[in-house]
Amino acid sequence: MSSDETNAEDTIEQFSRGTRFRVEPERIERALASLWQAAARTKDHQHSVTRACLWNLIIHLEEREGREGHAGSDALNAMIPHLPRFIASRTLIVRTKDGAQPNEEDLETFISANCVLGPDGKKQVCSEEITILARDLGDRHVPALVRALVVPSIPSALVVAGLPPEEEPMIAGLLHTLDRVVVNLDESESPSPLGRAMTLMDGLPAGLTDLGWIQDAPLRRAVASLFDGQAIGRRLASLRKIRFSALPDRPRSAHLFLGWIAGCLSTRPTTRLGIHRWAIEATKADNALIELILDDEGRLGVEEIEFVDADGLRLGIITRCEGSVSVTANADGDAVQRTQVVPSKARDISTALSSRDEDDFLRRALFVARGM
Amino acid sequence: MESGGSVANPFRAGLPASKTAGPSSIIIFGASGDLTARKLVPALYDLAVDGLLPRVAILGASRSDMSDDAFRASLLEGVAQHARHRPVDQALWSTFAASIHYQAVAYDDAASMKALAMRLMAIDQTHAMAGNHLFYLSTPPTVFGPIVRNLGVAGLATPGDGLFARVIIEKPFGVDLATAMALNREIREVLSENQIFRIDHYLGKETVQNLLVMRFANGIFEPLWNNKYVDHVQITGAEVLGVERRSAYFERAGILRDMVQNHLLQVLSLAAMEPPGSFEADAVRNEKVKVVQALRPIEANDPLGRVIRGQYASGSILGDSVPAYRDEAGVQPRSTTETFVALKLFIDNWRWAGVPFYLRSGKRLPKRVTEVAFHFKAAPHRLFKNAKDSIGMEGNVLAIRIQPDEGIALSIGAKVPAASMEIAPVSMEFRYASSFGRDAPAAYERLLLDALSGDGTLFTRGDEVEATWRFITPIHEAWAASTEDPEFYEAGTWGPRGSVDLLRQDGRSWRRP
Repeated sequence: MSSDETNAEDTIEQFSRGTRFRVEPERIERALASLWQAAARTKDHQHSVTRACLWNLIIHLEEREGREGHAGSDALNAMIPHLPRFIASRTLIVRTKDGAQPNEEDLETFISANCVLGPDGKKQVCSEEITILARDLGDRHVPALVRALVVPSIPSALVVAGLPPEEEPMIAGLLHTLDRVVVNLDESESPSPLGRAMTLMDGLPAGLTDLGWIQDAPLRRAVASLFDGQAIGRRLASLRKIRFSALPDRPRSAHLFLGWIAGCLSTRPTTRLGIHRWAIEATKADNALIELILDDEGRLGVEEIEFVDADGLRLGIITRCEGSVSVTANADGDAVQRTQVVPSKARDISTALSSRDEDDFLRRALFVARGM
Repeated sequence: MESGGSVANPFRAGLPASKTAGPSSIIIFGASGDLTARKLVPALYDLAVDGLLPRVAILGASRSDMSDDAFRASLLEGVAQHARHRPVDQALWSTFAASIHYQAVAYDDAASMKALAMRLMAIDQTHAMAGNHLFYLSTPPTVFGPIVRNLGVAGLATPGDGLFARVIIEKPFGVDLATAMALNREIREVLSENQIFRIDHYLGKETVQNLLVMRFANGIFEPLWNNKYVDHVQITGAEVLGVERRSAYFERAGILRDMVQNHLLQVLSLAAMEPPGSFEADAVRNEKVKVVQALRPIEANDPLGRVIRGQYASGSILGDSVPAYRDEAGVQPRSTTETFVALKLFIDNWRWAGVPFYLRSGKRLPKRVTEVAFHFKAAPHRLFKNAKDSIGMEGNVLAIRIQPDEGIALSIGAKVPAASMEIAPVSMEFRYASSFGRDAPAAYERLLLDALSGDGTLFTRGDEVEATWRFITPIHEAWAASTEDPEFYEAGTWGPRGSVDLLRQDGRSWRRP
């Protein structure tokens, strides 16, 4: 094998193992194409790769202190290597930083591959990653560059830690070309995140979803399962109190969850009874008056939702601890169903992109929760 | 008979499993068998892990005596080996297993079934179940009738108000037209059609369902889906395995009953049916049954003219020497049971007039694969006359791979980069595993969930089963009247010579899947 061939194979191997190569923006597509072409030609089965892409994923990592999204950017960054297991995408990682040094350019671009072994254990399924590092005013170039780099004819989604900031030209330049925006209300530093999310939902052509809302899907299913079956009318009518013991680091999700419950049970607004206490007239449950209580000082690492009837008896309890959801269907506690969803932000993002069915219900939950 | 619905659950709106049933007990007859440990309980466990299973209690029933704990232990072994979610989550399993019970039962004894009904009532009470019952008949077909009859005697076939009693029946559903009709008659004396769920696990496979999505959710394929553009269709169901431990069953069944009458004809009917008015169970099944009813019957004067029967001789599979079928344990030394069959079918309707559908299925073939391949007609005018142009000669192929490597491949002609005009076929492939990066749920997961929620779309209706047997039975009768041996083929090849000739005489050849 010639030294040129050896170098080419080394490059391919490094590429498919995730090494980043700096490439000028105008050469990104050509460089990616030639690397994949070379990878496809390799005779070595160990390096056999399949390039797959269902989404353009634009992930914004805010590295400028004090900006919306900065607090959650490390966690978002740590999730990126896990993405290909759940979703085939071209991933555009947009890193915004302060303080370019005199010898640094305000915009740099890199390419790399993020590969996982396919189900056959041989072929690697790879997503390609393009990192755009924008320093200081370099962010003004980002929207146009992203528009040029998205794979045509497939949808694009923006993933941010927190919420897209209101007055940020770079983000504003991206928002209107997207099919989906994935936010995280619990990581937002906005003073009124629910209202901001509503505004975004109403103003954008893109669908918007929240990672906390996605993470709470097992809880919503568990709540629904408590009321499935023949006795549903009686069980609903006897309901008087719902107490949600939430985790302190998920305040917005807990609020949203109660908004969802209230929206499911009633078409009327809630009445505030005190701090974290509300009443609803349950128009879908015999107009019973139901008290909703949010307790954010519950057990460490445990979320619990308790349903209590008019006699003070528990109709059911739902508990989530480290991803395991238990449903106890009666007060005696002898009918328990458990499900286990190993927490994974990457999987949650894949879920957020896979269905828009729940959007209307998220909108309703946001609307109700904002008024609580 | 099935009872009506109840008040809608306000918390269900917008959730993915909007049709989920209420708390239900699942009663598995034949619970000590392989299917329960390898497929059914792993599927239920996987649904529980994914949070898609409603609250269930499971009651295993079979002839053997066994304690609840012994039954649970045998199931745990099956789950550990066959569930999608491995290793087993012990905490989750212990909760799941607490709702699993076992009761020995004599299927044809009404008193024994009444005892089972009493046990079921106690289990429903212990686990706060509402009284919904899903019975799964994973037993030898000879006891399907007696079990259903005794369910009726024990009062288990008639659900209370707002509840359900449904029965899933495993294949084979009859061994010919007469037995299928008799079985339908027998079970309909106790159950209404909407309580009966005849299972064909092929219909639970993602790619089989994707056939419908591909055809009816995309605008570009359906206009081509007819005799104007399709030259012929090939459906292959190939297995590497021989008869393994199933020789007693397979000697009686053969590949025509084991694969073609159910799986391949189901795939054929989904591939060829007209668009249904809705995706409701009866709308889909009405269209499927029309396809089977439109199959041109086997000619009375030449019953085997379009049928090739084969049996594997010794050979080599994936580097291992394998014996001939007649040398397998439990097989008669002069057995004429077919291990391979190839058929040329015609669907006599407006859409498919004149388009041959070639079906083949066999054991000990070179690789395990199930696929449907639509071979399109060549372009009407060969513009590139002097070019090396295999696509221009043979036409494009759209292949839908059902297993393994589920996906879709379309072959198109492309110019080979060079100064000369050379056209080569290239394949555009979509593979589920690469694109979605997640495991498809097992077929039994989907089907169990559908049965729990009362959706019969992916189950076979009584008239459909009878229509398939009406087509298949004359072939068996012709073989029974024949004194000829099946055509032998070497294990590890794609079947006997006659199968190749079946297409060659039409100027075609089998594709290599």
